Amino acid sequence: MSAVNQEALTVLALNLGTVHTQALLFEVVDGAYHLIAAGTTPSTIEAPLSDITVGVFDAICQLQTLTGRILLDPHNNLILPGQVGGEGVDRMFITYSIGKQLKIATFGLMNDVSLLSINKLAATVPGRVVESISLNDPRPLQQQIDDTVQAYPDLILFAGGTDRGAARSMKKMADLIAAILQLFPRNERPPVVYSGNQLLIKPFKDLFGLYSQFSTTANIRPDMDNEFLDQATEDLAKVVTSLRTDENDGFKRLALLSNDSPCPSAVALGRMTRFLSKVGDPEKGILSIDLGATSTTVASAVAGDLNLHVLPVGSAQGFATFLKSTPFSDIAQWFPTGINPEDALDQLWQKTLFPASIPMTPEGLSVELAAYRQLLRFIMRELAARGSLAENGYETILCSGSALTQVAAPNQLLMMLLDGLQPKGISTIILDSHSILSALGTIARTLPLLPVQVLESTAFINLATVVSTEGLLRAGALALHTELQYSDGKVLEFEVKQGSIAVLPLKSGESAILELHINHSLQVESLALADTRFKVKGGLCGLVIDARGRPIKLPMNPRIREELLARWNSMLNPDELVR
Amino acid sequence: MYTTFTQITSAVHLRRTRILPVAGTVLVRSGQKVNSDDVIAEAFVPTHHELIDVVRVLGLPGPKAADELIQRKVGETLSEHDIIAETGGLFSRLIRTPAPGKIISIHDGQVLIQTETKKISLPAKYSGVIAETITDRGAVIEVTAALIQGAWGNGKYASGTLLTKVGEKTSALSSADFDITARGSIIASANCTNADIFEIAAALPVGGLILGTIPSSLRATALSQPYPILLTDGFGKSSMNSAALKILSMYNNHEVVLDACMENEVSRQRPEALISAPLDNKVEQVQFSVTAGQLVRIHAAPFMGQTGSIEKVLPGLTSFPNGMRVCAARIIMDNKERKTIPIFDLDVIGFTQSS
Repeated sequence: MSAVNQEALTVLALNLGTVHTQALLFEVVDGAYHLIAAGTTPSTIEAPLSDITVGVFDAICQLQTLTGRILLDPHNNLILPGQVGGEGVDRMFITYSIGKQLKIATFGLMNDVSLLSINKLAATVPGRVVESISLNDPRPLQQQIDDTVQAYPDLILFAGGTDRGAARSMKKMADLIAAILQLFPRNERPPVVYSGNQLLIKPFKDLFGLYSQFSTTANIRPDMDNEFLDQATEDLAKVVTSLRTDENDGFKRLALLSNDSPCPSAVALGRMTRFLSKVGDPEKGILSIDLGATSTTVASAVAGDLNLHVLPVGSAQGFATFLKSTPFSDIAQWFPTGINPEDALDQLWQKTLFPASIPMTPEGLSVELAAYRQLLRFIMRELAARGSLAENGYETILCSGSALTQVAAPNQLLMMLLDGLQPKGISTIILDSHSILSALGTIARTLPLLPVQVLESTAFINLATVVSTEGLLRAGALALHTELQYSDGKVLEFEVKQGSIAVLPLKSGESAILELHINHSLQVESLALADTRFKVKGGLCGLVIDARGRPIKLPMNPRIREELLARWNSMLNPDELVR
Repeated sequence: MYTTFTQITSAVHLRRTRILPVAGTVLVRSGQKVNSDDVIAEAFVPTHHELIDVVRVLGLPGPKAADELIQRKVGETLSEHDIIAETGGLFSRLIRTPAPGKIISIHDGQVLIQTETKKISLPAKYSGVIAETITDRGAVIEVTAALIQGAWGNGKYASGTLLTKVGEKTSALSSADFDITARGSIIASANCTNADIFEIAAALPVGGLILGTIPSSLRATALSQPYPILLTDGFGKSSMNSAALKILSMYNNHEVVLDACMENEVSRQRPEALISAPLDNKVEQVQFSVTAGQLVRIHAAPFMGQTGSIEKVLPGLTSFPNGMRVCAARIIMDNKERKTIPIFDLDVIGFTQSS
């Protein structure tokens, strides 16, 4: 492994969210980067302060208190670069998820080729596609123009043409966009981002430059058969960052201090997920979920092939979108005994008004966890609908966002994640409890060694390794027989019945050999794992066998359902884990 | 440490920015007094366009030939049947405008005409003085008023006489509250738990409703009402917070501007009720961070809508009965009980009085 950069021994990463602002301090200790401390404060981007820098200042002050280090000078300016005496930091980076949801209009040549690809690119930024036009659009031209103008997009994305491909059709589409641009007041015209035939960049720059800002990305369809979104995603992120800094003075001032362009947290999360999928099992993938306030970023990658989605649902501002699109009964099915449905509904809608609020009672927490379960179901269904779920399940599932990592005790959290994500096969569930994954993705471009070393440290919490079965079998029948051989040679034999959950004691950081003897009606992954021995790692909640089948089916009868939920909860909370 | 901040104050000097969604004409000057109904700016929003492909319609060889035949310039206004392009000669072919309008662009033999516009007017919404104008967009209005910022609004706006129907703090709105004196008035009450009440209010009609809470199951009904509804505390069955209740009782029968806007991620404008009121002589001090002595409102169950003052911000993290460990403060409630509440469940209300 190469050596650390001696000019970047201390690194500050700012994570600017809508609800929380975070300052992370990384430092070289014993020759490797480590997370030293994290300061988190409520964000101050909204009224009455309306200045993101106030929260940043507070978060850095927290870091100073936690570490005893001096990071700010007497005038409260960040000391950058660091001083000989150890004051300040050597590098500073910014990851952000602030800003309104962008209204995006997309233009492409063919519905199922370039328009499909440009819509996928649009899904990598926080926003929604408000208008989508291709050459096949059945509406009259006037209608296409009027509909786009009335949608008042913040951004226009335009793709089409393989490199050295279609030019005439592209010009026709460009003329339409140029006409639309002229219908907006000059200083309110949406910027145009072009992701098509690279030979047309010059004429399009000349054309669109007359009316609005014009930028380009790599061609997302350089040939008909292949789609390349990775570089275009990075290029588009820069455009979005430029829009965000233009609309927020405090952000602009912070960006000037940053050693690299501020990076949208979604893109940074995508970078890390892609990287991890390259170093992991090439047959299985990595799934990263960052449940943010306004939107949720989901990055799914197998062997470096990344699918990145920013969904318009979240734990705070995006919570209303989720509630509107989800029947309340779907959430209520996860309620334990004793929850008043009317009070629960009020609590959830009240959460949309005061997104940072925290449940004070056990009942309140149960309602919130039930909603997050269903929110995760919503996300997984959305991914399945977009064809972005890995066939063989995920080797690692990384969970980020304060709603997922800080709402409950580890076993409550694991239960919520198992019910919500319903992972398949064998997965390790890891908590990004300090929400550092995105920050690592931002830093990676400049200091590639830092994320690698921090990932190897204790900054992440291994919640559990989960073995999940699939297939039809009568509840209560023997689903599998397991043998877990510990490193000291002791062997634990265990039988798990269909419809139940079992926890096998295996501490975080500890490894053991697991042998599964699976009922012939069931399977664990499509891979041939039955009667074979393989290595597993323990977690905070041990090694968990989830034999409830996929998808989990809940009884319709409320009393039976509540009893079952209580039983599953108690199974995941064994009185003692002894071997 | 910061938390949400809600202004509920009996007298405050405030500025409200009113802007058009698109560029237009500002109709007021700095220093001018305006009433809430006065139009301060207006704009024309294009709603329909025609794109005429001169090359295709006239069967020309290319855009260059079309440009030579187009008789109009960008910005020109077209009346009905005006000619846009003509080939000339004995058997001249011509293109007339499909509707009156204005030429927006001529490019590559294509003429884009804006044929319909919609006028939008921006009312002042607040009675006050224009502090400054914003070129092509609107103005900033200065107002001295009692202010109650709400938690939720149904997106409507009205002004009228305030009729406070809060005999006791917990009294819910009932059909008996809607006599003829309520017609056109803005009615304030602790809460409303019956959807029929909204329909009765619409039939009268009332000018608007200011309520502490409604059950979330009535949210859709409240959204569909033609008059504004503002919730001071949100969704639930609890009463109105005592700070808002006190102001609404104090200003019964005064004129109130009720802007029950839905919180918007662009404007960040919150729903609010303003009642014209003179500033008193007390010096008020803004304190956004959470500190001892501040007045707070709790916005989460089981103490939702209750108010009190911060006795102490507790150090570190505090454990709650549900196992959560979060930043918290000890609150002396209005009934003198002491409760420990997560900071994120508190709203600092108004300003603390300086000592």
